[in-house]
Amino acid sequence: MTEQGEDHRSGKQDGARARTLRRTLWGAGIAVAATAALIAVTVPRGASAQGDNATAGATSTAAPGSSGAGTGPVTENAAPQGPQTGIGPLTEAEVDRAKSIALQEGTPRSFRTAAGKQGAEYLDADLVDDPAATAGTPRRVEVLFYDYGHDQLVKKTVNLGTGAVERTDTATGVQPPPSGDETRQAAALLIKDPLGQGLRTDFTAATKGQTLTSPDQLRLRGLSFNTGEQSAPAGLDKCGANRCVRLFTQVKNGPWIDTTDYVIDLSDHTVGRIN
Amino acid sequence: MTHILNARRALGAASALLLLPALFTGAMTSSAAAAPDAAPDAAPDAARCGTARPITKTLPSGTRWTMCWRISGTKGLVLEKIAYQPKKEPKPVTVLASAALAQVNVPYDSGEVEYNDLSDIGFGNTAVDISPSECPGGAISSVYIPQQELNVKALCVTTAPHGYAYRSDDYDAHGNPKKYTAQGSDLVVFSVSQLGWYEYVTQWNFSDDGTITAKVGATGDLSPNDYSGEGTGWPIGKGDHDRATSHYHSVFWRLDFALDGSSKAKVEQYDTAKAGLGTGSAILKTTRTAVTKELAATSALRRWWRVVSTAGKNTDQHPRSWELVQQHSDHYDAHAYTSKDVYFTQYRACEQLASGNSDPACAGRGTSVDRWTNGETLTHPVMWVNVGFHHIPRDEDQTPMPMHWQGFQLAPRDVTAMSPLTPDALAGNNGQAH
Ligand SMILES: [Cu+2]
Repeated sequence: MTEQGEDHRSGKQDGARARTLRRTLWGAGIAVAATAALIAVTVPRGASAQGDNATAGATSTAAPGSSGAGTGPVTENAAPQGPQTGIGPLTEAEVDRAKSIALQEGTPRSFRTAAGKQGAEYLDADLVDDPAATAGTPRRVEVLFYDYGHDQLVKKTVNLGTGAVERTDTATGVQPPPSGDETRQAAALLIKDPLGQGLRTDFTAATKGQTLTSPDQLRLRGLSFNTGEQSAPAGLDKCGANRCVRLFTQVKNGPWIDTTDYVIDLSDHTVGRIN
Repeated sequence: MTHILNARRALGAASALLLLPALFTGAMTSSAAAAPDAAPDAAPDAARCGTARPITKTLPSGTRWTMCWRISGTKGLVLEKIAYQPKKEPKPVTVLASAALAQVNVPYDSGEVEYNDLSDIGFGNTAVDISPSECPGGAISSVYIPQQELNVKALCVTTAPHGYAYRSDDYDAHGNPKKYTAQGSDLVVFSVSQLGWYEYVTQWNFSDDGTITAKVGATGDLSPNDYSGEGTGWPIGKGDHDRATSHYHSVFWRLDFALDGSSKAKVEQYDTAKAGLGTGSAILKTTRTAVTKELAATSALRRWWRVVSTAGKNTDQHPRSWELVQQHSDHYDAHAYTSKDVYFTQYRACEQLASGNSDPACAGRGTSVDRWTNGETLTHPVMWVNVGFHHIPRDEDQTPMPMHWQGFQLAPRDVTAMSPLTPDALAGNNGQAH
């Protein structure tokens, strides 16, 4: 947990060390794979809920004529918990309940998760956009799944008040952001793939000799990749109909390794390259 | 050109003018004199958002803003039920049902890579902790982010001075010189998202004069892997070797209005053209075009739009409206959906992202705003504002990159009979003296 975002970057010694590393490993990445490159940027990380339950409104008490807005004490509000009504952030309990309501119906036998098991891959949950919502409106949640059996996105609209699935919509060719699980599976495929050579080499260099075998050694952010939305080389033209993922990759507590050129197809378990 | 535009603004919404510098310099770090802060706001709006805590703030001049908030995985910060209550207004005036980002496209000039930051990654999915030093004098709120399976300190609510509200040398009732002047202040609401090496601040300023400023700030680091040739990059290292690739930050906002509590609103376009020469200057004529059907529109000299209430008037019996005040924008002309500057579409719940819109309930309708702008009658208009920034890196953009802002404003036009900041002694000066 960092206090200030600048700290990680301002240390002179760290900066020098990181720069050296970047130069060295940039060379290595190019030599081996001509793509993966180590990036000398570390970022603040970690998240936790803490603080009191005061109003979300600003509560600075700076006196008139004193040092100005932005110098008073900072209030921290914990994340809301449990069931809610009206318009506001989804709580963890609500997300869990929405998922379980959506899953109660079961899925057709031919539906598949990313790992190929019967069922659908859970992606995300979000509050329904309802311009008419008022303070007393029951909470309605859109729960997104991906069915790898038919390469389709499945949205279940769940009413947390009644506990019912109100409607189910499906579509092909649309690819919302990958879930954390999908992102890890994509990284696992890249690590094992011949195209993962540059990543493995850079990881070893960044960790002074460790071998990269698992996504758990990396901090990852997944990007969906849809050729229906942007240009791409011919080899990747299935992406969009298939579910494809790119990765922002960082050594845990270490530098970036640029893997954004690689596209991992989770539908047919292949790895391709953009450039 | 700037002068002409400014002259037009000065007639109706002078406040917008004053805010322009703040938009691009970042009012948060201003060293202007203190805006005395009001005590934490209590009860009346407590139930407005249901069980959730609203954002409420009465600014020192008496203007009160209230809204609900949440974080969506894709859209990031979503503000809902935004209401404005000027000092003398008996009730809050609802402005927007929902206001949020609708896309951030980042295509690189090399033709090698493009990022769709909302639809492919998500601004909520990448929301990061805000520390106390980043939210001076404010309140930081944690929220559960489903995709991260974590609570993130994702929201900062604070206040900031924005300099002059007005200044006027005048005379009092006894003929003695009297200077009227005041400093303005903003309610500031923001979240931060980290997309690889880039970091984005999604910020909304709600000013005491009623102006709403939406802006996205990009900082963090230039892409460490995108270097390019002459014409597509700019040298940022020694000599002429390391040419960081130029790229776009093409940002969309989606605004769902609820003027005076009603989703039914009218959209109007105004154009001002030369109409001959008068005895002292050129004659400029302003014409209004009612926008009754969905519209994809391009900015032009002296062109602007407003969304007009069908449910509320000010005490002068003028319908309340909110005017889109555009800043400089270079729209990205390589995609159909970023080739226009503003779109008005009929509301549909499944139309949330300006491109890469993946909601299956919209299947068959296309996935971008240009496809939805197909001539439907506008009864519940949604405004999509497209602001493109073509970023040609400079030496100064290196680590960490100074924040660069892009955005727009919504300025009240005839929401109140005079400015809510008008000093009491001048409150009777409404209209031409008879
Ligand atoms: Cu940039």
